[in-house]
Amino acid sequence: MDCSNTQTVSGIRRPQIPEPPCRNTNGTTFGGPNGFGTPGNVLPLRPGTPARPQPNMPSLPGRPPRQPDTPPAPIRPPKQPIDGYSSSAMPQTFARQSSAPADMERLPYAMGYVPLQRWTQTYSLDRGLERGTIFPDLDLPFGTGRSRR
Amino acid sequence: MMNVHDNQTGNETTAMKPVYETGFALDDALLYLDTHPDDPDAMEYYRYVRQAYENAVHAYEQKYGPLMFGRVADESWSWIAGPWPWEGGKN
Amino acid sequence: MWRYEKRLQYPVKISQANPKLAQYIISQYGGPDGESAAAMRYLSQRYSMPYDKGKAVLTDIGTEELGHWEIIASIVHQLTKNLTPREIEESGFGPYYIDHGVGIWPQAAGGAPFSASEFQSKGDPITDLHEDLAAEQKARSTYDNILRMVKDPEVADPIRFLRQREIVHFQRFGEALRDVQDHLDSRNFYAFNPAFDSRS
Repeated sequence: MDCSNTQTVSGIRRPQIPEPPCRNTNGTTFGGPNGFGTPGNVLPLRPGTPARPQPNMPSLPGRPPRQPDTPPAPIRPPKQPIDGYSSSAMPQTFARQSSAPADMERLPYAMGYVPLQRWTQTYSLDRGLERGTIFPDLDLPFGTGRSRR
Repeated sequence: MMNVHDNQTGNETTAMKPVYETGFALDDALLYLDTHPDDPDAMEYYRYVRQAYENAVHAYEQKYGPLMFGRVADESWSWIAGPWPWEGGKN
Repeated sequence: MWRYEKRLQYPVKISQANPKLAQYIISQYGGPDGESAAAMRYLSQRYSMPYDKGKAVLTDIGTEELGHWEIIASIVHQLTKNLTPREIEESGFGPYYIDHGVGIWPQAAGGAPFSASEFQSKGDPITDLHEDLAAEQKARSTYDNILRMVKDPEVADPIRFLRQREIVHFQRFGEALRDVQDHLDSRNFYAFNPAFDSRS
């Protein structure tokens, strides 16, 4: 099968920066029963930590909200690569909940944690090479922002 | 940047494009799989791009020579033939 | 072991020489936060990593960094083609040229030679992975600095590509760290060093 994307305009061009993911801000906690991670990678909360009332925490600046642990929507089979990437075609799994910070406060102290990436629809092959990653979630370019103040 | 309208080397550049693209998709899938070894979606994607990569490499090598020394198909040792990748030529 | 695939991971085709830029970009060839430092770091740390995911991540990212080291050399090589003595003098490339011509030699932008002093391989998986997370951020910041200085899109394109890879690598090292944590007791991750204190 010819994997080159014949619908792509050839030559030098700046790729479109994709729209940020849909924000689902109904505030439900994410992750498994311990509040963090996928099955097999669950971090226990600090021993003796009582469950605190969860304040309605704002999401971290610039960070898309995280989706609760629901089964992922069917992903388009890779045999039909996506030409480019549009927010309207995003599967439900791409939306991320904003409640992450509240659960983070219950992680064991004195350690660093990076959230585990989940598989989502990838960029098309030519776009992936251009962007430097096949994962829209990790596509974080330079030169697009300013300090808030 | 790849310029597929380069008249001198246009065909070879065109043949290399899917090698770069599928090869890179494989590289990025590799790292994801290293930390998500049981992810079925990632495994399906890996199988897809691996096949696409093999096809792209085969199509390129048939016309333009080996990308790995184990696949020299010519009468003489074409592995040493230039240009080499850092020279900004056809490859 | 390593075999060589006769292509770059991302193509580099630069038509306009620029020795001043070459002197900046060479920092990613031999500087403290560059690709060779990254490759040496990860490929050295993998021997004392106790867990499979960590070994795979260190091996595969370390290998990819060797490919990036090659891309940086290709950029510097093409930026220093066909230079006249006057161009060398006026660009500030002169001191490097005296010692190395237009050969490629691992040094930082300021001239300090590559050294293992630039990185650590501590033999403790938690420590080593934090070193690696920091290394990826340092590399990203260095690429940010380079991008501010680059106008030529033929140079900016591969640089942007390399910068994006650092962000992906950061994510993978973070995931590898999570895996290490999963192997340890969360009541005290630091009770012992699994690379040394466990019998295996």
